[in-house]
Amino acid sequence: MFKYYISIVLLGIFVLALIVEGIIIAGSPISQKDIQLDNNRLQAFESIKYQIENYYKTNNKLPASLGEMSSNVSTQDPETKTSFDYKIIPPYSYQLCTIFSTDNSKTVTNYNNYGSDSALDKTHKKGYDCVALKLSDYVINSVRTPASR
Amino acid sequence: MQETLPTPNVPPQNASQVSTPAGVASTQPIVKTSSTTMWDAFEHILMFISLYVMATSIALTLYFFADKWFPGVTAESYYRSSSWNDLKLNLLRGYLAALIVSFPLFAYFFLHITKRTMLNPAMRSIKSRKTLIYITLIVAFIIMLVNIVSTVYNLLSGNITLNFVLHLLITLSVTGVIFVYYLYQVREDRKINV
Repeated sequence: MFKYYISIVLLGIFVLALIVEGIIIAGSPISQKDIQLDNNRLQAFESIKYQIENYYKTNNKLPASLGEMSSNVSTQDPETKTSFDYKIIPPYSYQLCTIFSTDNSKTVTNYNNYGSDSALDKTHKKGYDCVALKLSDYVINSVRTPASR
Repeated sequence: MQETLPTPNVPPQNASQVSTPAGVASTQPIVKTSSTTMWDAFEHILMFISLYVMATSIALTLYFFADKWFPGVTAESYYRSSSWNDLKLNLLRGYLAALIVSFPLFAYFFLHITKRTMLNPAMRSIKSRKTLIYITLIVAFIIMLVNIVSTVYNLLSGNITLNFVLHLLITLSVTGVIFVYYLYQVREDRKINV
């Protein structure tokens, strides 16, 4: 019986080693939570981006503050529940800022060179950082005014 | 070792092995030759299920490590996108979850059954135990056979890489350990004709 206990203990050590190594590769549950939070932040930025584009289409200007838009989009940080910072960079760009939990500059694949300007593919540092977004050309062109031509 | 039967409606048939609930022992006939119950068969089935889940997830986790540290030609050149990596990491988390759950179950059932088998050799003649062992042997044999055939095929077409050899070694060692252990069990079982 003793040898069976020994073999199960050895198997257990082996399985434990696999699990530990796997967790090191796949990321610990705590860091996964941070990554998920940052994903939610970028998702929120993406929805805000669409709202801003809709606002631009109807009002032909960028909103002065996030509160000016319709309230059906969350402008709050999922963790701190404070409102995202919003800065206009004339003429067509703006920044959305919040406190990020992770640095995604090494992990994210940047597709923005291929014409996409999705907030989900933007890089950010850990801590307070801003994501710069620009109105899409089709949004600008759809409002045909002399100022935007 | 004294065992208390988990289900009261299963009659304990060997008073020397099984501590009987009060009031039942006097009414039950004592049959020496068959001291196993449906519960033992049930435990065997659970043990083999957890063995399959555990062995599969050990092999898949080891495949992942082999692919990560010794990537093959296709893994290196075609699949280096972020979403592919995400998918593989999610799969790895699935394997780890399966390992975390199945190993304790397997360890418990394995030790429990081994202990009972040593004290009560009649356990070796349970029909479901024999069936499960033979199914396991056959499946393990088929897996090893298919892997060796595919290795020879790749050898003939000149496609042998380190990654491929590692996959073969992982499959052969995981399946081989199970195969050899249960082959040994079959030989032990055949010594006891109860």
